[in-house]
Amino acid sequence: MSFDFGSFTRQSADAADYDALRPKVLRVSRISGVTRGGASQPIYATCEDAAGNSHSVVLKLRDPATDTNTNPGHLCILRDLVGSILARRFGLIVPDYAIVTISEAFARMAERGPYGPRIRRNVGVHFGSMRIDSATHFVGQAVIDAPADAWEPILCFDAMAYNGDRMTSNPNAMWNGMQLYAIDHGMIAPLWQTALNLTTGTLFDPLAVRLHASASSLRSSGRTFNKVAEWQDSVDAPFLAWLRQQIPQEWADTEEISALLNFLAARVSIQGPQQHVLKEACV
Amino acid sequence: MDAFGTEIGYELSILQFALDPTSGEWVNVGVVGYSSDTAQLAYRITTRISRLRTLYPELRGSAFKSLMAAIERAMHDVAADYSSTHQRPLARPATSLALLLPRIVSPTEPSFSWTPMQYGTTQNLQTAVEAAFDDYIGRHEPRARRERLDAGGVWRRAMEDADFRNAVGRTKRDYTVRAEGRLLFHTFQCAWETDTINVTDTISLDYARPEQILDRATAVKGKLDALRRDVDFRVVLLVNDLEDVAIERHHREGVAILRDTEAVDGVVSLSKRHELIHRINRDVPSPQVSIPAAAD
Repeated sequence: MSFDFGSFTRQSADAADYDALRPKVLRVSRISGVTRGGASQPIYATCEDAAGNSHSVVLKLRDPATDTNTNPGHLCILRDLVGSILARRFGLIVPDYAIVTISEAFARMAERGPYGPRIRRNVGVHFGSMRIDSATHFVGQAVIDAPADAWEPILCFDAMAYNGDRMTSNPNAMWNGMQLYAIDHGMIAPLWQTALNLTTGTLFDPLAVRLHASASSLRSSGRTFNKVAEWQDSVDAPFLAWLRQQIPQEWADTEEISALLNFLAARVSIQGPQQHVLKEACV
Repeated sequence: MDAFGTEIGYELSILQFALDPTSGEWVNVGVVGYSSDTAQLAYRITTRISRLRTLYPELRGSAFKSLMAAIERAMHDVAADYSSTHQRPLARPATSLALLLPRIVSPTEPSFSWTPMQYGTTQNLQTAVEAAFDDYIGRHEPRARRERLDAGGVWRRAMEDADFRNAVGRTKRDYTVRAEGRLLFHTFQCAWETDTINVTDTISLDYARPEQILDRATAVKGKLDALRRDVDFRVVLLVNDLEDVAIERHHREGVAILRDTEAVDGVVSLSKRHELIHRINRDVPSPQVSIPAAAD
């Protein structure tokens, strides 16, 4: 007998609790490969912390090979960091995350290997997510089939953060039979995709819910999605002020950061209607 | 960022073994790293053959181990050579690891090969080599070394103890705590009543990857906190003993997370189960057959 998929409780507003949300600070030591998936073509890297401990990291670069005008790399890693911290505060199970430096010295060494040019143009600070041992995780349909208990808080988060990047075809989640990890938050709040006309009042609509990776698990589940109401406690002013301090200055200008944080904070206004949409879409 | 130590550049290659090189099935068996900045060579090899046996059932363990021992001696000799080179100002260290590899394994040896060179920087070459060893070899070996002890395994081990069985025998088994009006519930191994409902269950923090330990502990804490909001109960958790010193810090932190849970009245390791036995014996001198439901 064991515990199953218990969800986290929301962090309290006590500043001391922010320590559990603080990103690690790492430096790249070695690149071991490029991941198969993901538009941002993340890199597998071994990194070190200041104490010299090693960490296996999925590294997302500020200037990836697939950088586009509507979804530039610097805004992806900005949203990855903000999304990961906020998701953890909201109560999701999120792999540890980090601010990762590629040093000039590392770039010089890397020039002798296959990723040299890509590393050279990315000397600086990037986003990293701790690698979870894939051998202990299910993939594909098994993730989609994770229990409704595990999916419900993730759908609540994605609706409030307007994350349309966790779909059946690419769940951006890892299930180990007990816990469902939410990964990859680089597409939350796509404010810069002007074609979407996204405003703070835009609801995560029934179509988005049907396309979400949780759809089959939550369909006819009778879920209440009460967790949506916890959004207002997750984006309170002291936390957002602390969160702003965690963002490396090199990643984005003040206007971009403000636009993102203001959007997330203002989503409080749609808690009620959004919860209603989720309930109706999952009847 | 300034708290980081000085970086040294290094090269790294993985040693691979194939009993039949024509099969193309190579298995990683060692890692060697070299820094020309410090003329330091660091290495780590495996002598475990369980993984190799799955590929090569006919492999003779003693022959393989003696081959690997010879390679390790060669690595040691090269490391010693270049370490002393570094002490002599007029001597020049090797400029690259590629120049050293033939001294470790002869290029004519068909059963071994080296992967293409990888390049990096580190604060400590041995740490970098250990990390690469874990990436390419170690992570595939823990299950061969010992099976992970899951929560059910913790309980079964405890129940092998007659004193534990007797104590548990006086409690109510498989007791469900359910949050009022919600789907949230958990069935604990056993329960007994004092001024409140006491329950116990087993938790395994026995994970190969340290971060999983903290995730597990936090998940359990989350569920217990959620239940506790609706139901008054106290829980004593029985956790596995630490068997791998490599995860000691994370195991300790995991236990701290569990202890920091409002509903948790104690976290007892398997080897100290007598504390739980004592507690049940004190609270339940005779069998309790009827305990009211914790919910409603």
